[in-house]
Amino acid sequence: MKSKYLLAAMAGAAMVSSCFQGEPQNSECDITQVTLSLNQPEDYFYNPADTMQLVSTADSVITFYMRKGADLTSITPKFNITSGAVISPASGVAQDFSQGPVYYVVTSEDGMWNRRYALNCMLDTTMIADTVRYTFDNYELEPNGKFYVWYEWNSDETRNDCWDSGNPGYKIARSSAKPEEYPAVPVSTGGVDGGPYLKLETVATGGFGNMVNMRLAAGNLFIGSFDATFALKDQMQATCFGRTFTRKPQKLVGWYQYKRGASMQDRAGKPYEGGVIAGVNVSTADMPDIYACFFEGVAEDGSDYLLHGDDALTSPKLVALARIPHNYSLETNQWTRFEIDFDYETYGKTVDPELLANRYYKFALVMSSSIGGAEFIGAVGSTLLIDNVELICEEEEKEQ
Amino acid sequence: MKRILFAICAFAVTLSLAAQEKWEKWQLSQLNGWGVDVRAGYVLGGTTPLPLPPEIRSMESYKPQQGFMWGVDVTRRFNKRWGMKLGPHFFMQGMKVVATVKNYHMGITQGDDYVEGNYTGTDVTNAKYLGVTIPVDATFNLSPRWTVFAGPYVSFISPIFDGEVYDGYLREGDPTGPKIEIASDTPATYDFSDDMRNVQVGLNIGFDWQAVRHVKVFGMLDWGLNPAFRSDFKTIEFKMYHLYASFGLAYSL
Repeated sequence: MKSKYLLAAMAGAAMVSSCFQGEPQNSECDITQVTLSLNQPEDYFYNPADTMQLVSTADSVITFYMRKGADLTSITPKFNITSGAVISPASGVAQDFSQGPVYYVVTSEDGMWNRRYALNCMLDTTMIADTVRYTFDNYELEPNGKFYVWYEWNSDETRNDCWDSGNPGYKIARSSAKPEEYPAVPVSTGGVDGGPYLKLETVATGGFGNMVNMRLAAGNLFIGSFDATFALKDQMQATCFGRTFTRKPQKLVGWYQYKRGASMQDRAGKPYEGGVIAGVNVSTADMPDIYACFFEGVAEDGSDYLLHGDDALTSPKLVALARIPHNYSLETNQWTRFEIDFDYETYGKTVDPELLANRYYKFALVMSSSIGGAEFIGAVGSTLLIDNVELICEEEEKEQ
Repeated sequence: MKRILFAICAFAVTLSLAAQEKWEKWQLSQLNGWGVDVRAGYVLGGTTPLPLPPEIRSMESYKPQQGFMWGVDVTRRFNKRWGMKLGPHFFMQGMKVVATVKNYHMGITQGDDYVEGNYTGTDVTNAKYLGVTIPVDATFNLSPRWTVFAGPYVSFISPIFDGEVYDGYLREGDPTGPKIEIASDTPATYDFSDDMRNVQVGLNIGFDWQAVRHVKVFGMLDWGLNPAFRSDFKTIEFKMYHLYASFGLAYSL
């Protein structure tokens, strides 16, 4: 009897194991990393580490900004791509980038999928004026028409896509949301100057948000980029703050209105009982956050350094910080001006003019409708309106 | 599979030949009449795609849960060999499966919101079913002690089918879409209980072995023939079927 059961069990096990089929070939076809192989990297970049870029899966346009005078006619990019995939034109072959982007197509191992990438190598000619103006007047729907994105114009009339927001993350949670229902939206009239302004609102994330314990999304807009890859995994890493900046900021001014939502909740969706968030003692009343960081944008190993949601206010790389005060209620239903000096003293660092010219420093401006938004603490309905922010920089010494 | 079946049949025939003279000893009053069997047993099995699609790479663990059944069969013998049985089997059965999948197309609905894409990583499925199955079986006595039976069944089920995915990533839309990482400390959960059929039909096959007078050892397989999920359920691309084996004892009144 026993041996019969054993036989039956063995037969069963054999049936189950034989059911697993061969591993399917990869369907993915991503460029994960681009490295430019250059004989004299210092002719192209201030920082040698800038020859390499990691590519997010959401990006199909890859851009290298190069020093004035760099030769764009023959540059050899090398690509890391999904295992088994094929790239055309081939990796490691010199291309001419002086006539615009070079297009690459990556085809997956199983041959079923492909992606088209544009690779740009262009000269960075951006000049930053004494006063940098953020008007929030320039916005458009992203290519799929799901949510709004903002941009600015540089003083030399080139477009500056410096802004990003948590909107791409909200899209994952609420695919059915209309552009106007996202946490960061433009309002076309009624700003300080009568024109458009920015509205940031803390909103509920619906069933999916509950599913992954991220019940609300604070409205935010910041200088930097949002990497939705990490929106569910490590949301602090999803918000990458900072862009290269060649001026020394002195003062942040702008206009705001704020209305807080009725009930403050914690990550679990329960009533929030108060505590310290981002260095501020927060009671059961929600508050906004507006801050600007000026920091060293190169890591010890020479690679690019960016601030993230969890270290923007505490990073040892900070050189100066300007943050809206939180020691009084910021609630107001009229356009209210703020003017904050950058605090260099606390950090005890001097700004090296040569490093400044060589693109060593970075700048980030971060605005959020809930101070605890990064930790999913806040009050649904908290609304921060922002308009006409200006960054006043130290005047450059006039060359004689 | 065929070879296994053949082996079982050959074994049974050998037994039947050896036991030809013992019909009177083993056959109870139900010979040419009515009888009642009360069954209780352990249930093992689950809900599975058949065959397994290549997207399912491995099964890290499989745990049957709360597998228990009891039932009453009314039996009717028409002659020495042939008969019928019919009766309700009440069951409580379930499984917990941890599997790794690659490029597994799935979608999740939450109200009006829908996320769809290709998932690679770990998937944990919990299934629990409570209900009653009513098989209508033809019985055939191979020998005085061995009976095999087979027939259709109808099953009424109150299902729970939920789970979570973690330690992987979703490519939103298709394999070229943005990658969304899902960590093990913030798994994404799903619940498809409401998408399961409450009424199932299938095939019941099995055997009884008369161990001592009044007591039989039985084994049987319940094989769902209609998919476990409703036809409008598109989230899991392949069809899943219930497949359960029961082992236990029956007492003949």
